[in-house]
This record gives sequence, C-alpha cells and structure tokens, in this order.
Amino acid sequence: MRSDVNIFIKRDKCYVCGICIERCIMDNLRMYLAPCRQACPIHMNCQGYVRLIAQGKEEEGGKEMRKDLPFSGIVGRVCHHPCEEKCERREEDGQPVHIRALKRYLAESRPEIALEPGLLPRETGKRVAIVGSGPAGLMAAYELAVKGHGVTVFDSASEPGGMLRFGIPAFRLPAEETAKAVHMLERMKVVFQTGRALGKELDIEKIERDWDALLVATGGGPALRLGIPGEDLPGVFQGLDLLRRVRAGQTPKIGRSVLIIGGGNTAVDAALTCRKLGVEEVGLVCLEERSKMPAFPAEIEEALEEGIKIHDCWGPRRIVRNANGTLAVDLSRCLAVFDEQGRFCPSLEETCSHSPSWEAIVVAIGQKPDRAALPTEIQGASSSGPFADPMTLQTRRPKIFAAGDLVSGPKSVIEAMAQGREAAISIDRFLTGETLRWGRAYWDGTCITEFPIDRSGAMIRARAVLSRLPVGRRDVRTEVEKTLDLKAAREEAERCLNCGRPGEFNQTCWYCLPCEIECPVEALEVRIPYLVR
Amino acid sequence: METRTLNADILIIGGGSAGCMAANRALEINPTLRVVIFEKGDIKYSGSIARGMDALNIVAIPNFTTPELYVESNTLACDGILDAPPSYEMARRSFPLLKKLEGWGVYFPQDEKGNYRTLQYHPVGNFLTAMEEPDLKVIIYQKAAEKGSFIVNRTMGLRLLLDDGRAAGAVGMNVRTGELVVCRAKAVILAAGGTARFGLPNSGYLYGTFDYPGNTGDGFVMGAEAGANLTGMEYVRRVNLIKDVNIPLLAITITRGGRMMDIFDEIVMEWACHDMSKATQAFAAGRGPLRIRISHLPKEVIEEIEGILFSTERPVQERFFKGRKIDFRKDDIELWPTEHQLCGGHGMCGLVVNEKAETGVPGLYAAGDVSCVAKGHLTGAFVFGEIAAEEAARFVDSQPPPRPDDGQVAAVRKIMEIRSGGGDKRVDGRDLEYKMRRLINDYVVSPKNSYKLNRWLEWAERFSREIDEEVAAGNGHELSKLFEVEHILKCATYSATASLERRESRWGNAHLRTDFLKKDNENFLCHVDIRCGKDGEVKASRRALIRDLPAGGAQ
Repeated sequence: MRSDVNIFIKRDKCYVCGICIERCIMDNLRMYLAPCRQACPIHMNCQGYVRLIAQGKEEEGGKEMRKDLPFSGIVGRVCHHPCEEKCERREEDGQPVHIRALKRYLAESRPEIALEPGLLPRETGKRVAIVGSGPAGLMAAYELAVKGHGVTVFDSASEPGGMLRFGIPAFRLPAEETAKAVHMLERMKVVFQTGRALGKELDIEKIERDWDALLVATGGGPALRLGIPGEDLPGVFQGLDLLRRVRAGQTPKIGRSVLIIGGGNTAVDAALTCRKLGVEEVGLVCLEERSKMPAFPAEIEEALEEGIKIHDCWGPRRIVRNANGTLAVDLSRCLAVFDEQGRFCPSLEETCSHSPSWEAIVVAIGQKPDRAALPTEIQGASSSGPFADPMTLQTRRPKIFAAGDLVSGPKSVIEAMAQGREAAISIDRFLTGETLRWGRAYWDGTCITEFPIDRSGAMIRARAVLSRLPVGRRDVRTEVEKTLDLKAAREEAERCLNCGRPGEFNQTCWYCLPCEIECPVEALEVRIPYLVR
Repeated sequence: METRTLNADILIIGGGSAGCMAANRALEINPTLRVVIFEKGDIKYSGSIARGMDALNIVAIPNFTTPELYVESNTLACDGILDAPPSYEMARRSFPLLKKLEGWGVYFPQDEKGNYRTLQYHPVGNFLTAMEEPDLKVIIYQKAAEKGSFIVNRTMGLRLLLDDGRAAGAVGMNVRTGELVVCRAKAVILAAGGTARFGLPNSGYLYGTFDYPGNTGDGFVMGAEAGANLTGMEYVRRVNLIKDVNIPLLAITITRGGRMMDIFDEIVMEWACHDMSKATQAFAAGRGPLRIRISHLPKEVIEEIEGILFSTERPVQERFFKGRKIDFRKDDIELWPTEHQLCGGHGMCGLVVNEKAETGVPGLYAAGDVSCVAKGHLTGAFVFGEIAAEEAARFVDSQPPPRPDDGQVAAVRKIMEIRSGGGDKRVDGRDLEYKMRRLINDYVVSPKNSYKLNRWLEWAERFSREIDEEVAAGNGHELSKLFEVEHILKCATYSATASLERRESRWGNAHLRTDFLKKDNENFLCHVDIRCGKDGEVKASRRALIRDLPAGGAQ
C-alpha cells in the first residue's frame, strides 16, 4: 500500500470522510475502503462514525452518520448488520464491533442531528408518486425530495411505514420511530396519503398519466399458502396477518399453545410475539436445519432465550381438527429443502411420524410478490428482460420504477432502503433527461477494496453486551433492547481497528494543498514528494 | 461502457480562471442559459491558480497607465510579435475587472493615498498590481456555481463535436471510471489551459512542474483538430525558479531589494526583474546555480516576504525550505531553470483569437492560457473569459440546437476501446511519459536546429503507435493518462513544426536556433501559425501582424 511518504494521514484523527479525495485536483488519492463499508448495502461510513464516538465526538459522529442515512433510529434497531459480518475485528477475537448498537447510540443521543431534515434545493416542478411507504419507499421519498422533486407517498394501510409499522414487532421497533421518520419527511414537503391501495383507490394507468414518474414499492406481497388440507380451519393464522393485527392493536385470541410453521424472520417474530402475549407453549417447525434457517441468527437466539422450542427438519402434511377443538399437525421429516439445481423443492418422508396438537397454528412460510395491479405487460420477467432492470430498477414502462421486496422478494430493511436510493437516482435522472446507466457502480473509481489491514494496535477488550429486558418482564409493546450508555459506547467504539484510510495511490501530487486545507480535522499533512524535497 | 449525455447552450471546457469567469459572466448576462463546465479535476481548487496569486499581472490604472502604453510595452516584451487589438482590449477592461473582483471581496492593498500598489514587470510601465487573496480560486468558483453552472467534475475534454464545421459540443471522459461524457452545445468556450506538463523537470518527477500539471494541452489539440489555428507554438518557455520544487519567488523578492547572485557572488539582478536575459546568460555560461539572497534586508522586509511566500500562491514552500534547512536570514535560495512549457498566458502560444475571443471556427471561443493573447497572464484569463462568455451568449441566441452526429462519438469510443483493450501491452504509462518528455527536452526546446526538430517528428510517430499498442491501461485513471500523453505529444509536434518554419532566433531562449542565430525582421516579423489538415497533417504558415489599435482608441 502506498501511503504516508507524500500524503501523511494522522490515523487517530482521520474519520475517512473522503473530502480529501474529492478535492484533490490531480486525482492523486484513493480510499482504502474498510470491509464494514464495503459490506453495507448503502455503503455507510460506519468506520467514520464509530471512530468519532471513540474520540468522544458524538456530535461529529452523528453528522457523519446522518450524511449517509436519514433513518438511523430505525436501522440502528433492526438492521441485520452485514457490516458486522465482515468486521475485521472478527479476525482478532471473533467478536465484531457492535456497529448497529453504536449507530443506535448516536441516533438516541443526538436525535436533532439524526432526524435533521435534508436541505431542499430549488423545486424542479416535477412530481413523483411512490406507492408503498415501507423502507424502500421512505428512502426513495427522501432522495427525491432532496433533489427538489415533489413527492407524494401512497399506502394502503391506515398509517405509513409498511413493514416497519405493521410487520416488525413493536418490541423491536416502536411505532414512534417510524412516525418520527415520516414526520421528518413531511417537514421536507413529502405528502403521505394513507388508505390508498393499488388496484382499488389507485389506478396505475391513471397515476402513470398524471405524474412525471412512479415508483412501486409495495413489498413482498401476500403470504404464501402451504397448500395442505386444513389450512383454512379456524385457529390457523397467517404470520404476517397476525403481526399486523397485533401492531394495529387488534390482537386475536391465541390460546395456551401455538405452533409456528416456518423458518424465516416472520415466523420467528410471530413466535416471539405469541410468547410475549402470554402463550405458554410456543413451538416452531421448519424445513431447514437450525443452522440454515433463513431468519437472522440474533432473532433465533432471542427465540431460544424466551423458551421457544425449535423443531427443525420437519414439513407439515395436513392440519386436522381434534374433537376438543385443538389442531393436530401431521409432520414428516424433511430430507432435503433444495433440489440438485438449488431450487426450493422440499422432499419429505412418506410417513408422518409426528402429530402434535396445538390450540393455534401460525403459518409463516414466505410471501409472493403481488404485481396484479401493474400493467400486464410489465408484471413479470419477459424475453426482453426481468421485471425491473437490476441496475436501474426501471420496468419496461419507462415512467414506472420498482424497489424493495416487490423486486427482490423478502429481504431486509437496509437492502430495501438501498434499492429505494437506487430507484430514486434512476428516477431523478429520468426526470432531468440524463442517461440512467452511467456511473452506477458505487466505487466510482475512487475505492480500493483489497488491501492489508494492520491489526497490531487492536485494543484487547470484549464486545459490549447490550442490556435487555429480562425475559419475564417482556411484552409485545415495550422495546426489549436498551441502547448503550456513553461509557459503554466509547469503550465499544475503541475496539474498532480503524481499517480504512485515504492513500496517495496515483502519485500525481502537485503539493498544492487543497486536500490539507479541506480536511475538517487537520488529519492530513502534505509532504513534498520525495523526488522533489 | 455507459455514456453520459448532456445538453447545453454553452459548454465550457476547463473550470479554472478563464472557465469560471466565463460561466459567471454568461449567467450574469442571461440567467436562463444552460452552462455546462467540463472540469478535469475538482473545480473548487483546480487550475493554475489552485489557491491564490499575489498580484494581478496587468492592470492599466486610470490616471497612471494606459492601454496604449501597455500595448507598446508588451510589443517590446514580445519582440514585436503581437496583435494589438486583443492586448488592447484586455488592458482596456483590466481596471473594471479589478473593481469587479474587489466587489467580490478580493483584496487589493492600497497606500494611504488610496493608490494600488504596483510594480514594474514589463519593459515600460508599472502594470503589475498587488493582490492578496489566497482564496481567489474558491471565490470565482463559487460565483460560477451559485449562478447555476452545471459542473461536471473529473471530466477531461477529448474532442470537439462539429456540425457542418460549426462547434457543436464535445466528447469527454470521466478520468476515474473511463466512461464517455458527451455534451451537445450551441457554443463552446475552450478554457483548458496550456501545456504545463511538457518538458521533463530536472527532478524527474512527472508532476513537479511550476504550472498546474493537469494542463496537458487538451485545448490546443481539441481546437486545432476542429479547424482552429494555433500560433506561437515555437515559443517554448522556461523560467528560473526555486531549484527542484519549481515555485516562483523572483518578483516577490527582487522587487523588495533581494539580489540574484551567481557562483562568484556577482550580482546578476537587483530591484527590477522584467529582463531575464542576464540570468539566462549566467546559467548558459555555467555560472549557476544562481541564488536569491535576502539576508541583507531589514527584518520586517524578510518577514513580509515570508508572509507572502508562505501564504498566497504556493504556501507549501515553507515546508520545502524547512526540509532543506534554509533560513532566509542566513541562507540563500538556489535557483534553477524549470521545465519547459507551452502557454498563452505566461508565453505566446495558443489558439488564435481576435479581441472577441473568436477562433475562426463558428461557435468556438477560447480564453486564458489556451489562447494567444500574448503574455496575458491572469488578467488575460479573467478578461477573455468574460469576453468569450459575452460573445457566446450573443451567438447562441440565434442558433438552433446542433444536430447529433454519433459518428464522431463512435470514433472516440473506438480509440478508447483500442487503448483500454488487451493484447501484449506491457509498457507502464508513466515510463512512456517520462521518456517522451525527456526527448522533448532533447529535441524540441532551445537550442534548436532542424536536425533535432526533425528527429522529434520521427520519435513522435513512434510514440503515437506505442500509446495505442504497447501501454496497458488498467482503469479510467490510467486511460486518461494515455490521452494526456497523446496531447502532450501532439503539442510537441505543433511546436517542432512551428520552430522549423521560424528560421531565425527570437525571444532569447524561447526560440534559439543554432542554425539561424540571427533575428530576421525582414522575413519573420510575423506570426507562425499551425494548422491541422483533415488528414491529421500538421502544417505551418506565416501570418501578418495586426499592428493598429482599434479605431477610436480608448472608449
């Protein structure tokens, strides 16, 4: 790695904001990009805000975090943290830096920074309709508003937020967090109209005519059905529907025991919700092996912590009503989940070796995107391409774009937000008459992704443990997890290895000094190139 | 590879002094214009000014100096080779320019009587006016940006688009990603600077030039290949600056009492620094390195000099002197000739323009170091940036949008494919640049003769092939360097061709021919122009001087 002969970086001050690289008039500098940033779907400067916390600069940390993300209160609670999966700290002691918790810490301790509305430029006069106010729609609304376009967000539910408001349980993400994000957008002149569903109150052809562009971000769609006998018996609930009703304050009666069928996040959230509602016996069956369940590992841990019994490698054959009103589920061993081509094609044993009984069943086996309300010719993939272009997220009708679970199937909040951002970039270019496809690679030529990382300065310290409500005191409405306090946050942030840095990659320095002048923390010193000095 | 397509009323290539002033002026005149700026670096600090300058080189201050005197003085400085009208127009507008900059917050020191501080830099007349503004570039960039210019950073101009011989925009490339950027425009202002990265500096460091190394003659090549004429390309300039680091200090020190000494401690220059011939002779006779001594000056003067040198134009020199353990109170500062450059502002090279910044190609204007308003320096860049904008704004009013011709864009794309393509390419681009610029030092600069100049033309063909066939370009940055090197190469060929045509010696070391040692006013009191034929052939011709001032003189 070329470094420090010509451009010397004071590593204890630098928080990799990247301004030096942007200002260098000779394009001398490149950013050696920390693995956490590479892994983040929106490439946040997580190294930066973590380092600023370690330096005791929460205000600057909040601002750096806010530059990349207007929804840190939400993401700091529910993100599945791909950053932590790649954190170099794992190489040191197996325990990644608690980046998500540090993000939440900043959002909580500096709310006025975290929720600062974006600056609005001159209005362009263009109007964009967004259908769906989940993470993808909210992020797109933000990005389009800061470009000066007029944005209205429609949602079929009674309040905005999509899965944030009616999917993810309140004990993970309180309603206030989503409301604060919506309120911030409203201060940016984004208009929300609830109770408007595509195909009912909203006609897509009319929106396409009346608006300058349209983004459809309506989510992963209705629940998949098992397709087994007994699925419609009373006492059989649908996972997403159960979560939605609980969040809307319309909790149904479950009983004393419930079996969740499914291995993903919705299944685990449904199990945890039932537990917190007081259901004594909560079991979960899934086709996959424990280690291969699609649900986030942290959520599975939480389920086990609360006494939920997970029975892996089982598939349901039929549901039958017992004489006493309980439901029996005939289960067969699952031999394989995928076929040789990797397609989802579970193969079950012929015999049903297990038939436990439960007062209620919750089916949570996935979703199927609902594109029925879209114009027929763009509803699915065709010979001319997929539903939405993977790079630009434009459909085959130029004014219509799509983002989030509707495009990718159920994924995560942060991935949906990343898609929302990309769709907004495409829409902005579409509205200003620019080509959509240039310069879309994140790296834009300024990042180096492979480089040796120096772990020699690593602080020896165990990872912070977030304090959480004791199991017995948990309920459906109260947040289980608490945020870090100042001391714990700083100590956790000090565990960061500070992997990334700017470097003098191209050897074109003219020692003119703008990089040094522009560095906000005087972390950069220009040394005259060796051949000259 | 994707292409970015833009449309503009006026496309400005180069976001430096001339370019930013042009953008600001165009939008002052008509705020509805769509003005696009291609900037190779990042516009906030880019260009020859980077930070600031310690003087505005030419100001004809009312009741003190006149534009007529300036034309007379500059004609002497250019040894007769000067068209009067553009220089006159520049001098005529120079004081209003100063007032405009002052209005923007640029500081011009005045004495107790309210007079601006001036120094003599020209053969006659004190036109150099002190200016203390380290943030000059930022100020003029902000003016251009606030008014709504559409700035495209990291974009290098490669070729002008033409619609039936009329300028219709340009093709550029993103120097990081290698993607093409095409801008169709009704008028184009070339403001891409000179060829600052021309000869190899003595340090051997490719970017250790005294003038902004991002300037690689892009504008010279784009203009010439679009049908505009170049002139003065035989004027190849070098100056004597701080050895190795190539930073100026002569005007600042000599005019305050500093002395230039040779190795025998004889004083070569004192008080006045507009005539460099003694210094050049001293170096030629082996009495160098020359040294600047200011240790004899009063403490306050030394501190004043340090204050200016370490703050305004190249503040990094403070580090240089510290690293070399040089204390002005005890030690001398070594001087050495810098590398050679081709420049319309510092020197006499550039696209031919009249007093309206017109190049002769309809819709194509040029301003700043890329144009020849001989020795116009910063004043020329600012004034002609404004003139170009005024003329372009008037021109576009009556113009239909240009018609697209994808054949021209496709031709550039093809070259990019060749240069980024694989094959047996093993030569490092930096090595090719080093070798080429070393050979420019060997063959293209004074002392010149027809043997050397023709040797260069042979080498040029070889390098041209090697750029396409032997150098690997692994990313956008390396690819953009190949284009820069190609532009430097072509400028060297323009220069050698013009030098072959001017069969005399003139301007001291800028054009000294050992096979034609005498000045020949009978045959060569004229311009030597360069023209590119459609087939790519470079031809030289002579053109008569325009001696007369515009009718009516001062207005």
